[in-house]
Formats: sequence, C-alpha cells, structure tokens
Amino acid sequence: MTTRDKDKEALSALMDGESQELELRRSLDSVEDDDALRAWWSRQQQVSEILQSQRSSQTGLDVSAKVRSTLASQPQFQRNPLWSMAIAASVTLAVVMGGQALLPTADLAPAPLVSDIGGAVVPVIGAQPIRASFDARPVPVSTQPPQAQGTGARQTAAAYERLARDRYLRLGAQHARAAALNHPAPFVHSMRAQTEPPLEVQDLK
Amino acid sequence: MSRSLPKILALGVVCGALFVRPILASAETPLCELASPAEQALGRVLASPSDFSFEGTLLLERAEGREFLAVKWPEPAGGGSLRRMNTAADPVVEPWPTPAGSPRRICDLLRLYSPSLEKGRIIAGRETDRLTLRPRDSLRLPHRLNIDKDTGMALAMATAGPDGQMLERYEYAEIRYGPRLAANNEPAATTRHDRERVVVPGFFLVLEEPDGGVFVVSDGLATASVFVEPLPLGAPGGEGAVIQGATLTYTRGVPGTGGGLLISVLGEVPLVTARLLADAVRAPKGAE
Repeated sequence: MTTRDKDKEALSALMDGESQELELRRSLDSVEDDDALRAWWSRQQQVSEILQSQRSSQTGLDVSAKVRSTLASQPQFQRNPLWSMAIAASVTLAVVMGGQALLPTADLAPAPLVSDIGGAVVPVIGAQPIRASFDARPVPVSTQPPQAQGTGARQTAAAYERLARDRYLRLGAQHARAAALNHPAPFVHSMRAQTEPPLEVQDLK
Repeated sequence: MSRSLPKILALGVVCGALFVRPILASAETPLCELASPAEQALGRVLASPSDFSFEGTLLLERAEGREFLAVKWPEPAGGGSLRRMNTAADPVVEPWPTPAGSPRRICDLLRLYSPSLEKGRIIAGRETDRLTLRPRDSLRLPHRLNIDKDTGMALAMATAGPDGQMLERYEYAEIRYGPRLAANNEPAATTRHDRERVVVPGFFLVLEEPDGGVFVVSDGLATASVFVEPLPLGAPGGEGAVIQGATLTYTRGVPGTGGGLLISVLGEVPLVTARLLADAVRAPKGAE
C-alpha cells in the first residue's frame, strides 16, 4: 500500500468519524501538500453530499453570460503577466462554491487534538518569549526550497505573495466586517477595517 | 465510501430532527446539552455580549503592532463603539457590530473544538477562568480565553497558529460593567449565525454573492472570506500567502482557456483550510 493509498484510507476514515489522531494529522498535512490528494478528497465529499442530500453541489453552477463576457473582454498581457492583477473590485462575475459535505457529526467526538496554544505575551509563569512572532510574514506554500525552484517559478511565487499582501489591504476591511459577527470580541476585527491604502498597481511590477 | 453510508443515513435522520427543534427552541437556548463546566463556560462567552453593558480599555497586539482601545457596549444606535487611544489626541468613534447569535452556534463549536477550563489569573481586577479551545482537526486555529467568572465576558483572548506560535491577542486593562441588558436583546436577523451548506468540513456558508464573487464561511468562531475575480489572460497560475496577526491571506491564480480565476481567501484559518476553500470555487462554464 502506497503512502497516498494510506492517506486516502485515513481521509475516508475521517469522513466516517473514525480517524486516529496521528493518522489524521499526517493525512491533513498530506492534503495540504498534495493537490491531487486534495482534489480526490473533494470529490469524495461531493459524492458524500449527494448521498446525504440527494443533490449535487454541481447543480448550483451558475453559467453567466456576463462572466464569460468579462473574461473574454480582458486584454492579453504584453509585459509582466502579473502587471495588472490589481483588478477593480467592481468587476463582477458569477461563480459558485461547491459544497463539500462533511457535516460534523456527533460521533466525531472525542476527536483528536492536533493543536495546542503557545504561551502568553505578558510575563506570567510559564510564558514563552513570543514577541518575535508578531510580524507579518510570508507563509511558505511550496514544499520545494526556493533554491530548488526555477527562476520563473520563484518570480511567480514572489508575485503571488505580493498579491496576497495587496489583497489583504484591499479586502481586509470587507472580511473584517463579516468576521466580526462570529468573534467573541467583535471589535478585534473592526480594528482591521481601517487599514493602509492598497498597493498601487506599479508596486506589483 | 461504502462504510460511510450507514452513518450518512443516520446523520440524515438526526439532521431532520434538528430542522424541527429550532422552531420549538428560543433563540439563545442551546440545541445541545452543555454537560461540562468548560462547555457551559463557552456558552456564557457566546451569550455575554447580550447580557451586560460595559465600557473598558484594552490592549490589542497583532502584526501591525500594539493598539490601546477604549470600547463600549451597547450604543443607543446599536452595536458597540471603539476608539483607538494611541493614534490621535481626539480619536474617532468607530462602530462594531452586534455579534451573531444562534442556539446552534455552540453546538457547532463543540463538535469542532474541544474546550477545557482551568483557573485563570486576575485580569482588569477581576477573577477569570481560562478556557482553551483546541481544534479537533487541523482546519482551524486554537484559542485561549480568560473569561470573567461573574459575567462570562472574554477579558483576554489569544489565538495561535497550528504550530502553537502566538498570532494575536487582546487583554482588558480595565472594565466597568453597567446594568444587565433586557432579556429580549436578541441579535437582529441580519447578525444571526445562519448556516447554509458546508463548504469544507465544519465551515458553513454564511454569505453568498455569486455575482459579486464573494463568499463568506464560518465555523461559528473562525471566519473566512473568499473573493473571486477574473485572472488576466496570460497570467501564470500560482499561489501565495501571507499572514498578518491571525489573518491569513491566500491567493491562487487558476488559468483557463477562456480566462481564469483569481481566488483570494482571507481568514483566521490555517493554510490547508484556505486551500480547500479555493478548491471549492467552481469556475463558470466556458471559463475553464
């Protein structure tokens, strides 16, 4: 049995609420790193949803003429293809989020604990020095070290990282308004609603 | 999949029963039993904003630095207000919304997080219990709250990354409670924790604007917003992510022959969750 087969079995067990702690953690790590495995999991969950609801999330696909025309009317890039990714937020298009049904079931509990929390910031007994972690930082999304990637791949990765920063500044307030509704202290998210102005397009070159 | 079927059928029966119960239950009566002190403490945290009026000052630490805030709840016009004390001599009053409420919310959370309760330290001169919410899977972040023993208010809260590294925290320096609020101070319909379908495990759609390319999902505590825009023709596919405080921003470009999609996920979620949310976006036909 290959590692991927084991991952698939573990993910099936997760869908059945029968996963084991270590196995679950390893498999979710695999899902994070393996596009094909993630796609397989998504398909399995769609099948599960169909079985549960007798409907497919695919039925919600919205084919909009406006979308196609929006996409078709975009100009071809002449220079850096990421040059104008800062698209006006007013551009509309219809897309649909496909449901991946894995309803949390009562028999999932007691489920494994795969995370713990770090120490406190204020000097209390057992506190860990954590000030260094209060920095905005890129999150590595590739399993390959940068030196192992080609120049083009590194440039693309760097561009998407800059794009992520730009999107945080552009869309952070909108997200904060939604997130505040579900937080025990809504003002924490409201603090994010006023952010610096977004990067200019030129900054993305 | 075959071994999933009996449980799926059983789940259908349970879900059917749940659809009936909310009609009979009041808005804030949990639809599940809160057996342990930790579960009851979580219930108090979720209910506390509708219980007491208060004013206080607190310190918020996250990627952008430290902010001292003065907060007040509720305001006559609705919601709460805050002032950023270290940004201006006469800080502007900014609103914050009424939190969402639902009798199902805590039941959702208890399926997704494991609460534990210990004696906490004194915060803002008040005794607290320390409530730790450990996620039951890797799709959400752990939180630690210090809750007021008397009121259930979260006087301090810290959020960590999957690796246990602190991402952001706040803590009250002082708090003054006002009178207990009227019992019928239920959240407005627009701020209710209304669930639609599951997008990734434990995350329900709470807002869907397909024409605007905006989706919001929540597990009752963590929230992620998904924004979808056209990817310019010729742009290469790729992905990138940054984290600021507890907010992860993940972008993915998905090229297509007729034009691709640029998907941005902002949320207080781990990277794997953001990726799964991006996977869940279906491109319109003809754009693939």
